[in-house]
Amino acid sequence: MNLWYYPGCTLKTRAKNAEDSAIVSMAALGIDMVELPRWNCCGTVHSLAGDDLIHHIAPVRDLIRVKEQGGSKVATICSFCYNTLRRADILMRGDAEKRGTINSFMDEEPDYNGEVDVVHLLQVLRDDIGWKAISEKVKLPLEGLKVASYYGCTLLRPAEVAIDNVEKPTVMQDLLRALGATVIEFPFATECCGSYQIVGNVGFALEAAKNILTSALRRGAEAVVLTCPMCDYNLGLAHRELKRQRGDLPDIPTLYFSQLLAIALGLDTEVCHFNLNYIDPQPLLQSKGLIVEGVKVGE
Amino acid sequence: MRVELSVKQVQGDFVKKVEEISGQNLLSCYQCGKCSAGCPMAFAMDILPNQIIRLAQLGLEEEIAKSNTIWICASCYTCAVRCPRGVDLARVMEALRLLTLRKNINYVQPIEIPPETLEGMPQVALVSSFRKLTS
Amino acid sequence: MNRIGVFICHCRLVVGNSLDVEQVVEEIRKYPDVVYVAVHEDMCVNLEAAGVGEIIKDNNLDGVVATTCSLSVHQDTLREEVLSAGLSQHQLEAIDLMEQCGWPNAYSRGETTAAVIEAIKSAIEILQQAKPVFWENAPIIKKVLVIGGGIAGIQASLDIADGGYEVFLIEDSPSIGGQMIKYSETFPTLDCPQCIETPKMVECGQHPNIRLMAYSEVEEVSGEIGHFKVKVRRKSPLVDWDLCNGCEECSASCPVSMYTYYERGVAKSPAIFKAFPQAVPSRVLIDKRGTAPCRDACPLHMNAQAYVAFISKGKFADALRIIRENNPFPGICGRVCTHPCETHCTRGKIDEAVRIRDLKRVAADYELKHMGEEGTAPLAPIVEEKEEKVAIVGAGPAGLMAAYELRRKGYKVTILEALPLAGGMMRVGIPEYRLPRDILEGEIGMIEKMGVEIKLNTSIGKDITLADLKRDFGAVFIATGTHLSTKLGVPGEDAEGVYPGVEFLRKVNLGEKVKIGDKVAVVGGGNVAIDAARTAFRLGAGEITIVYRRTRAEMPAAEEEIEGAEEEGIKIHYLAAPSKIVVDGSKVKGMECIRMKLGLPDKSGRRSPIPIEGSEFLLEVDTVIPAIGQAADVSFVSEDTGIKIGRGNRFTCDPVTLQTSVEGIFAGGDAVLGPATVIEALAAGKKAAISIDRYFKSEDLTIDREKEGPQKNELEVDISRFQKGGFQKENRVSMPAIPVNAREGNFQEVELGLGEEEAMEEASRCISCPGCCECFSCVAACQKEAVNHELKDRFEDIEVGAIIVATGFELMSPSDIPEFDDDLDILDGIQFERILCPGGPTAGVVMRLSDSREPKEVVFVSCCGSRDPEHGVPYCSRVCCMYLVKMALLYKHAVEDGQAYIFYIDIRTTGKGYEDFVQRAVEEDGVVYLRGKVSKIYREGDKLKVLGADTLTGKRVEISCDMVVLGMAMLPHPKTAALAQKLGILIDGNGFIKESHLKLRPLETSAPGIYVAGCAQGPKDIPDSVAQGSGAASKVLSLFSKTELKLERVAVG
Repeated sequence: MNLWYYPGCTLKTRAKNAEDSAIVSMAALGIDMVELPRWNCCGTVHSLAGDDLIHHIAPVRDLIRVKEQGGSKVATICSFCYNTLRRADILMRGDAEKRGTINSFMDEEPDYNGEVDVVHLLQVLRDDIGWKAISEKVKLPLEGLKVASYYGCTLLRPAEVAIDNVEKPTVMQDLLRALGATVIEFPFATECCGSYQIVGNVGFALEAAKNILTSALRRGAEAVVLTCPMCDYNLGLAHRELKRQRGDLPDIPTLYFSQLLAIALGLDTEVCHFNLNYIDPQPLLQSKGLIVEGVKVGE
Repeated sequence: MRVELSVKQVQGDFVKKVEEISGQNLLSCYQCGKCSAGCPMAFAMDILPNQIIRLAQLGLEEEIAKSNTIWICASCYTCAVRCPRGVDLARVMEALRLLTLRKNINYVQPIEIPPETLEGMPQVALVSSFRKLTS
Repeated sequence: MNRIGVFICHCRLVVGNSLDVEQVVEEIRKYPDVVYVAVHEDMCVNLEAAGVGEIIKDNNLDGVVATTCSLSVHQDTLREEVLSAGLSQHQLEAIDLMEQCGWPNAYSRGETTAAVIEAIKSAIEILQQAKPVFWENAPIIKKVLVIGGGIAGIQASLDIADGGYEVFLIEDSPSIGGQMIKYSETFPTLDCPQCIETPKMVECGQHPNIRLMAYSEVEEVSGEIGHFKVKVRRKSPLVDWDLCNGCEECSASCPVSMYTYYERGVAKSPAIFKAFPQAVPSRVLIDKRGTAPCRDACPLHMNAQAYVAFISKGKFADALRIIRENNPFPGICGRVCTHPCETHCTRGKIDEAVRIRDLKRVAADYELKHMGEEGTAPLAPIVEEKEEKVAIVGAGPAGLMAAYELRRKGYKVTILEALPLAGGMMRVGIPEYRLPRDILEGEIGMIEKMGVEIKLNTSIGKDITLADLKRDFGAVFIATGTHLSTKLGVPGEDAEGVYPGVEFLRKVNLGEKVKIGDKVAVVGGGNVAIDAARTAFRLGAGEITIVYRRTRAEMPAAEEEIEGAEEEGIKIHYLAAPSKIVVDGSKVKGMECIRMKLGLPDKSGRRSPIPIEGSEFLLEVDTVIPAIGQAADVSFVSEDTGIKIGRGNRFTCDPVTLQTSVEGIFAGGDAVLGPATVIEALAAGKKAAISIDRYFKSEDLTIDREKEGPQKNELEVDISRFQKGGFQKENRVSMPAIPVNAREGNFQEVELGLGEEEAMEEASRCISCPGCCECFSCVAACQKEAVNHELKDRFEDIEVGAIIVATGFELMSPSDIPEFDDDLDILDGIQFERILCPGGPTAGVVMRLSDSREPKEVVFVSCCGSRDPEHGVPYCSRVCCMYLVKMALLYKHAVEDGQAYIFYIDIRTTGKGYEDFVQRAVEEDGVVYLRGKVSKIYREGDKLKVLGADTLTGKRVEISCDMVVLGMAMLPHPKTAALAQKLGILIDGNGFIKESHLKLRPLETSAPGIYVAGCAQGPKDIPDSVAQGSGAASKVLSLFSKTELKLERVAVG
């Protein structure tokens, strides 16, 4: 089965570890992720101003690309891309007047009338493949690995784009359980990491991110699993800051859900590009027997 | 210090503009404070989010302008999903930011970001920051 | 009708502002058949002045359309006027501007005007097509049905009954009293419902005019005002209430302890129980939800839930009686069973499964310790002696069980056993330190005492042939087991010092001398390997190494056995396999092994071992015990018998009947299954016995056999209570054992068994997931013979002239607020009422549900779900402000040094004495009000963190407290909508019963003769509910004061 896939800027560069592990894992699960031709920036954030339509053009163009290909569904891995594309689609479906204006602005393109379903890859795993099918394909259960799943904002909020229960999501925990990991619940799984404030208000953003890491640590998590390159960066910086303040603090690496998926499916872990993780997860994974130094796991 | 209230403020252009840009009815808010109680960035704000909307209800534009609150907001939507009255406070914050940004005033100056900050930073962080906090 | 007049009522204030009456008149004038249109100032309040009657007569009108601002207010006077002008009811169409035209909603004047014009046009069309109506006199059945036995329903019933009319009071739950009876004390006077409501409840129960039908529901309703027919479902409480006297002897006999509905998860009760001490009627009922998964998982369907429940109460003899109903070997199974029950135990989903097997042993040991010879729980008596004879080959568990079952039925049973002792693998496989011989012999002895003959040292094929058996016995059951060892297949295997595992254990267990060396290697990872190694340890071997080719995770032996071996200093060499046995002369000198690594999983799901080339190493040993598999010896079956032997030397037989290819010859146990477990062998024995019994009776062997063996469990268990934050996980109690240094050189039993108190503690971990355990103690305990587990629902038809709906409310669930944790110490209001209540489960001692500690700081949160159109309900629930402050005050009275906080948005104190009450709580009891909502509540250690706001100070507030009480929104009772549909009455947008007019007809529903009272109509407090109960009663009394009704009928045709 083919699945149209929108990567976005960060997955092509800084978060190659998320992208490659996802594509290879999905192939192992029988789904070929096909990168959308001629995609452009999603805009990263949905414009919240009623009188600002120009910023919706970028995500709508991406949806038109899917439509042009005859696709009716597009998957994302980056939570920001998911949020922006999904909300652009909701706007276009729900507001006839704005839809008209936006479509008429792009007269060289076909009109977009909400023909494309925007989904996050976690939804594909849950709804199209299913936990049972995934657990049956697990070759290397993540036994003994204690992980906290961290959602952040944009997969769940606002409520109309939520891929799961807004306050008590389970999709990532369900995936991790299907992969054999031990799931650690913690109260800040949906709390904001500080987001883009990391650029202009780095101190404030780090406060928010540190709160998340320390809470997960207190509950006994050994790693935090996430979907979003922004969260990954903020938590990584916060981790460095925490280590500077308290040297004896245990490492709590962040991992993309797709990296753990690839490991559990027994795939070549080269696709995980662990060198791109802000905190090296390899010592932890080695200690759990999930990767072997210099040896391809599952051989 | 007293603020002076009159029909000029309460029914003024400022209130109308905020309502127009945000698409929110400011009077829907009954000031329960749930937005402030749950805001992950409120620790850094000098005025709480519910107070911002209160000031906006009354048309007290200058009081809002003096505060850092709207610039600390991370648009995380925790307030909006929990608001019992369905007020999308993130949109109100955006409208208030735009009233400044549209005067060609930036909150973040791209040129002033130190190179070491940029190192390793994902594109998505930079682009979203500029989208939110520059004109 | 073709002479229609249109009357438009007008007033300056309301209608004038919303409606352009001139435009209406202009439009309507154009309509056909309209002969009169006019606007009348204030027509509604003075029809006479408007001259409506005169106009009707003067214009010879045969149809009238009139607009009013509110139909329910003005309809009656309008109708009177039209009737007195000589027209009939069907010639009037009145229009309700509020209901039908949107006035006074946010429509513009233009929109309202257009809507009114449309409404008038429709009314004209209706009149043009109307059929004539006539009046019919109808009698009134002067009996009333009151639905709902809360305080409103109770009040209504008593008032009507006192008025001299018969009342049927039906209540969904097993007792009347409603929500009110659960409260501790009531605001603002702080009197307790147990004092002020119970007299009314008792009066209801005893009043000669009230027929109380508790635990009943309305099934069907037909008819109309004056004569309703109602079918009532009398739900089965599994107890005949005509016989039950409420003595609760049954509850005392019930071993079960479970969370029932009445205490809302706060406290436990037996599975047969009275709703609460003051219940009216004073009757018991049984909570039975299905079959426990432990029972379904057991191949013998042992009633584990029941015997565990008895043990939790210290009733060991009762436990043993229950065990023996299905299994004559509790001492054996209590020690060596592989306990599939525990694998499926619901408790295992919460923390760890209950130690069901070890509890069984406690019951069996109790008999030996305390009950003596004559006091033992007897085996089942023999029903009736029969002539037919059965031969059983093999005295293992399958053979013994078949013998027991067949003997019970009266058959003459002979067991032929090749070995010198009975017991099969239980005797020669399982070592004595796991299964002491006196236990084994005692339980086999009981079978022998029943008259089963066991012929030892009798081999088939040698001492007697299968053909002889077939000739001399009516049926034969072959249960010969698997007593041969699988070969390693490496060089040197025949050397001196190599003892195949099964043979080694057999020899030792039969008391033969086995010369064991000093350094022993055991090969394999199953129970036989561990048994062999631990036996070697007891025989004095110095160094014992188990060599297993995979890792511990893949090891099939029981975990507790592996641990036992490790304790005894036995080394386990994982990821290694023998490649050859090194021989010096004829004797073993060592074992060469090769290291393995794990590859990808194979078909069994386990990762397959791959040899690492060149990694050979030598274990210096003088004894090697290969224990890598077992096989059956089928040499006694010659081809001429016609018995088919399948793959792996196993008997081929029908899986349902166990009959072999030869009629009358059956086979089961390991000989058919391959090496399996004692419990599976027992189940096979039982299955064979059923088949053989049917065979003798010439019945069909195959039908109705689905219920044998493990069953798929259908029980749906809600374990959410045990998964909430604050729930203290309780691991199973640990098994005491003799110290390792006392194990060498003897075969004394290692596991000492649980003590009786430990056993009771362990058994209390069972959550009684299906409710009733079907031990039927209640049946025996009831002197009135009222308990009847077969009792079905029944139906009763009643006829009444009026109905009062008083179905009350339910609270929204705290789990509907997802930003708050699900936690045992986050309660809804009624749960906290139960904890405060002196007659409640904690006897009024305020404690946390998580750890029974007294909470020192309690946070109360108002408006949880109420006034929250986005996530809950849009309305104010009216009573939360008051009951939260009442509970805060009662909490302070109970915990003097405690602190109560109340988060609120507005404090609504609209009743008499309410405002004073709040001020008293603040000033005298130091209750701290915080003005703001709470955004998040989560557990941090043993505290709950409450993140809220105080908008008065403009501060965010964080409180680490011990308990949180949520003022949850009041919702209509969950069955309200279904009931309204049966009654044909309307509900409002929030699901409450819709009143005919919000202000002026609050007790009438949309259907004549059906009234509403109490919280069924909307949230209200006790005084208002009582007032409405009396009000609805007076409506009924007023109806019943008429001699007959005039009912409007439409002419047919």
